[in-house]
Amino acid sequence: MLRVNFRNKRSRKQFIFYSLMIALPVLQVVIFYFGVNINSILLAFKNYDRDTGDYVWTGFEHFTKMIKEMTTDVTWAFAFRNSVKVWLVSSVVSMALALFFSYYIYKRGVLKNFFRVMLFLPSIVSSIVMVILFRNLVDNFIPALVLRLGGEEMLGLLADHNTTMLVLIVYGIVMGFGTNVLLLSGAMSSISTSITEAAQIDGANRWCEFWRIVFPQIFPTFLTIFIISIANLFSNQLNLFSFYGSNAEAQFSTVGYILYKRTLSASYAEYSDLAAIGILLTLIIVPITLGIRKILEKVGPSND
Amino acid sequence: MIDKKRSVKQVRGNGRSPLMIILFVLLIVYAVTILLPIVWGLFEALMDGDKIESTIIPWPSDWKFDNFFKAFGFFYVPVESEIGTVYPDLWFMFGYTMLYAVGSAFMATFVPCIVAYLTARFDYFFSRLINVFVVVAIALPIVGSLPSEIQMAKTLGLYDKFWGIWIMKSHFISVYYLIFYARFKSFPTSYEEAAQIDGAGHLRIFFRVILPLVKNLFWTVFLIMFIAFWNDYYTPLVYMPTYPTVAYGMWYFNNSTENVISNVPMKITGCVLMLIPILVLFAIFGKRLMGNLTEGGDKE
Repeated sequence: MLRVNFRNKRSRKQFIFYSLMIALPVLQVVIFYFGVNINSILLAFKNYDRDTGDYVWTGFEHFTKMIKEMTTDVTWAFAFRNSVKVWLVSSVVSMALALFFSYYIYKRGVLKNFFRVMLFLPSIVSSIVMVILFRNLVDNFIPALVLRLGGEEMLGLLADHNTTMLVLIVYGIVMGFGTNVLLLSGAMSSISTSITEAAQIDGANRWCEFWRIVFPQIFPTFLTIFIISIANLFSNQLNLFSFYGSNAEAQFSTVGYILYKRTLSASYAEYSDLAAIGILLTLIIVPITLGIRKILEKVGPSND
Repeated sequence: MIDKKRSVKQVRGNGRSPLMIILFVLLIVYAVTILLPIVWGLFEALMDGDKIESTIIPWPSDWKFDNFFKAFGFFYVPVESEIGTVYPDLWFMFGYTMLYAVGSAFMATFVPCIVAYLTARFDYFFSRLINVFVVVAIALPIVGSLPSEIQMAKTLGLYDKFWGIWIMKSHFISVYYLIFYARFKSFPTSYEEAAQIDGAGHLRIFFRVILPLVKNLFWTVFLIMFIAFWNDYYTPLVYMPTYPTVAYGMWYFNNSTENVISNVPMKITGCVLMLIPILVLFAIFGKRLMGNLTEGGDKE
């Protein structure tokens, strides 16, 4: 490790350069990471006084109010249930598909370049544009197709409440592959070809090669992506704001959607309630994230 | 010799393994799911919105290219200003989008790059501290800090200002910091040592020696960030309400109840207007965008 020797001109100059260059980025993080989060904690313990325009201390008032709301209001019950459901489906189905699709690209399967573009395309197209085009497909094209094929007249898949949630989840999965496939196939491409060639010569089929060699080698990358997806549990909006604006029905809400919608229309007085919700959710999600990370690090495959 | 032939045959045969065939079929289904709404939408955009043409394949009986001009005319967002309500049109929105996306993308690329350089190449205790902090901050989920952030932006006078949003986006808590860090860490110290012998200072070494070595990675990250900011309507909606971007305008256009644009073909025409610049960008830089961010391909 470098030590600063102020008697040495070169060492001193180096330290001054380092300090000057890093000062502004660090100041930004101090304000917009530490400052914002500390302010968020303080805000949760304060009340906005409409007469004076100041915030005054109120203790745990917002926490008790919000705990009561979150445990009695049916919208929150839907939101928690949907958030967990969406996370479970997307972490199992989406991560598994992203892994296998990355493997297909890594093994240079037929039409590899075409599929690579297709997997990346949703990442570059605006979510609002994809939502409009997709909604048109499921609400207009599919009912028309079913009718033409001799089926009965039907509601659009998004318009029909029985299928809305399924369509929203499928949409989330289909649109979310891009970056994960990019990172996973990147990690796979750094595996030495001599290892996989040796395994194939020893008679390992693709399935065996994937589980015994490729997956253990890229497990650290997989773990990072998976942990980030857990962190997303309470911020995933399920694209509801793009599909419905502020008017999504309560039964399809997620925690992320409620938080964003309420923040957009919040007054200064409501910021404290939202800050209290944020702290409560953070207290739930941090131990879950750290716990799952610990378990996966222990039970995950070793690349030795 | 026979063994070797058998081995080669086995390896080739694996290309048609059941796993690869199943994946091929799944990927075809996936590609159709992605392409169908886009291609169908392109035809739908040229249909007459006033007539109901009930067809599965929307082949317009009368190609309505003027839909684009109509959509262009109705692509606006009402904005409250000191002089009353004003209506920035698509040209203004393109301008605002360029300012927002270029500025934010540059800051969100340059800051992680420079901090990664400092922490990777100057082994002070503080560098290690920052490195650990970034890893922890990325993995640690903090929920619901948006109200506090808005309040902070308003207090510091950054709210509803371009330079304000650029400052807010110029942080280094990002995956790209880790990618830049890994790249800088892989360079031998001889680069700086040679430049120092030639009399170059630290600043010159960074801009003249180090930055050119990572220029491909830098521009790839910049492009990824640019596209993300181009498509982002959440941030402008929250932090820049009087400077609507194209994505913000698209969101408003989609929710508009204006008669002329409330039909499906017109909504999709609006989408196509927004899609064109990004598809052009993708056609030009697609290879770079989808390149492997983690491989060391900059040593040219």
